[in-house]
Order: sequence, then C-alpha cells, then structure tokens
Amino acid sequence: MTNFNDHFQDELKEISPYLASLPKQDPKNVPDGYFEQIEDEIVHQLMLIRHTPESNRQLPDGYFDQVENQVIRKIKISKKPRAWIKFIPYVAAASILFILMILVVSPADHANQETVQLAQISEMDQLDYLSKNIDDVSLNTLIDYGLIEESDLMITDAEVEN
Amino acid sequence: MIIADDRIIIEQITKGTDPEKGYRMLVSMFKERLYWHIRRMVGEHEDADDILQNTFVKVIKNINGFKMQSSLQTWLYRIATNECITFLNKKNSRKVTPLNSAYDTNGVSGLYQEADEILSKLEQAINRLPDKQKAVFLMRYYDELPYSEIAEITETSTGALKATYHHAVKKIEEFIIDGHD
Repeated sequence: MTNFNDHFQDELKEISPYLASLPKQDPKNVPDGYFEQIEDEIVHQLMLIRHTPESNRQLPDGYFDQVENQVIRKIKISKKPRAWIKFIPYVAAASILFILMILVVSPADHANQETVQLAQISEMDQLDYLSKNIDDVSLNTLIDYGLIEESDLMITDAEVEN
Repeated sequence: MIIADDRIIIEQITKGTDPEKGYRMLVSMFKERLYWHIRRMVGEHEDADDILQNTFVKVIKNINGFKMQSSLQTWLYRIATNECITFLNKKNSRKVTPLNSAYDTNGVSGLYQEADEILSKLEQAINRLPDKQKAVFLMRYYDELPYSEIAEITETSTGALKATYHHAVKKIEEFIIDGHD
C-alpha cells in the first residue's frame, strides 16, 4: 500500500536487515466503501459545526473597539440627574409629618366625638339600654350607673355556708 | 505536500462562498493516510473511525488560527497523533493488558513463519512500544515521512527522532525473532 522509497529502505536495512526483508503491508481491513461513506459523514458533520450557535456567536468586526465607547456613553447618560429627584427629601419629610398628624391628632378627636355623642343621650335612655343589655356590661359599669349597689355584691357568711 | 494546495483548501474553507467544497477537498486529500496512521496507532477500526472524525472536527474548529507555518499535513498529523496518544493513555489507564497476551504461542523463531503470522507479530511488537516511540516508528516505517516533518509533528529534534526510530526497529526485530524484547 505504501510506495517503497530507497532512502527509507536503505536506512531500515542498516538498522535491521531482517525487518527490511519483511513485506511492508498492512494486515488490517476496513469495511467496504468506508472511505467513500466517511467522507460524506465528516463533511456533513463539519457543515453542522459551521451552523451551530457556537460558531454563530462570533463577534462582529471591531466589537471591542466600539463597546468601550458605548459603555462609557451609557454611564454618562445614567449619571445625568433627573429634575424630580431633588424633591425626594422634601416629599419624604412631608409624608412623615402627615403620618404623625394622623396618629397623634386624629385619636383625640375621635374620643371627643364619642364623649359629645354620649352626652346627647339622656340618662334615662342610658339606664334603659344598660338594663336591657345587662349581660354585656361589667359590674362596675352597673354600679356607676346606680343600677346595683356595691353592698349587693357582698356575700354574707350565712350565704357562704348555704 | 505543496503549500499552494494547502492555501487553496484553507481559503476555500475560511473565505470561500462554498465551504463544503473546501471541507470535501480537505477530507478527500487526507482521509486515507490519516486513517491508516490512526488505525495503526490504536488498532481497532471503530476507535480509528472516531479519532479520524474528531481530528477533522478539531482542524475545522481551529482553522482560523492556522498560520501556515507548517504544512496542512504536518498539522493534521500532529492533531491526529495527539488524539491517538490521549486515547491510548485513557485506554491504558482503564485496563491492564497482560504482557504477551496475544503472543505467547510456541516460542517460534527463524525466518520461515507464515507471512500472516509474521505480520501479526510485527503488529504486536509495534503495540508494545511506548506511545510516542510507536508514533515515530509508524510515521517513518509506513508513512515514510522525512525526519524534519516528524520533528514538527512531535515537536522533537531530528537527532532524537533518529535515535528513537533506531531503538524502535531494534526492539521490534528482537521481539519478532526471539519472542521477547
């Protein structure tokens, strides 16, 4: 399969006359039509490699020369202050004040309002309400409104024994 | 190998409008000699087939970096040889092949053996060489490459290569004639 070249053969003879006397042939076989088939297979494989995303990910010419300027330009644009940003501290302070006003001022007004509303109800009506809803009110409230006496709550020794 | 041919193939692949034509030129030109080099290195057809394909894939993936400082053939042989040595290292690390596994027949000697048997022993003797020495022997004995080209492929000096080849031939001769090296 390989053409003999005198130069190579002479060199081999010098080193090993025995080896130089052996037939120089390859005992191995290949499947029929292997070299025709493998050419198509390899070429197909190489064409696929050419169209894989990896090879498409090649950078455009001069990309790294341009990207530096583009990044710097974007940084400059993003650094330009926007007009409304300078009002943020004032808006924040006003918001805190407003919240405090709601928390501090508003509960007092609410309590006053309840007092005013209760004063407008007559004592008779209040007593009437309490007597009808006696299960829902505490003993102290009943004593305050004179519906019961504190002495009514005292239990005598005789009652304890019974 | 004529450098002008290399240039045509490379330009067809990298700059041509029909890269498939370039691939076909490349594969067609080198497939057989590379296959036989690889096959002699690794033995089995299936392994040689895989390595041959990997070699061409590597060549194409790196062809833009090929500076034409050596011929395409030298470059392809270098890639193929390295692939073979990597494969053999992996294979050797996976299994331990007993010495004389296929050989210990009858302790035959002399020059009267059947041709097939001699060729089989030659193959066994070659396979017993260290991987790099084996590659050098095969490139010189079968492919008849000049030392200067083998030096480029293996990145070794020509003086060292001559000594390597000489030792390889002597070991093979001893193995075939005496049954050991």
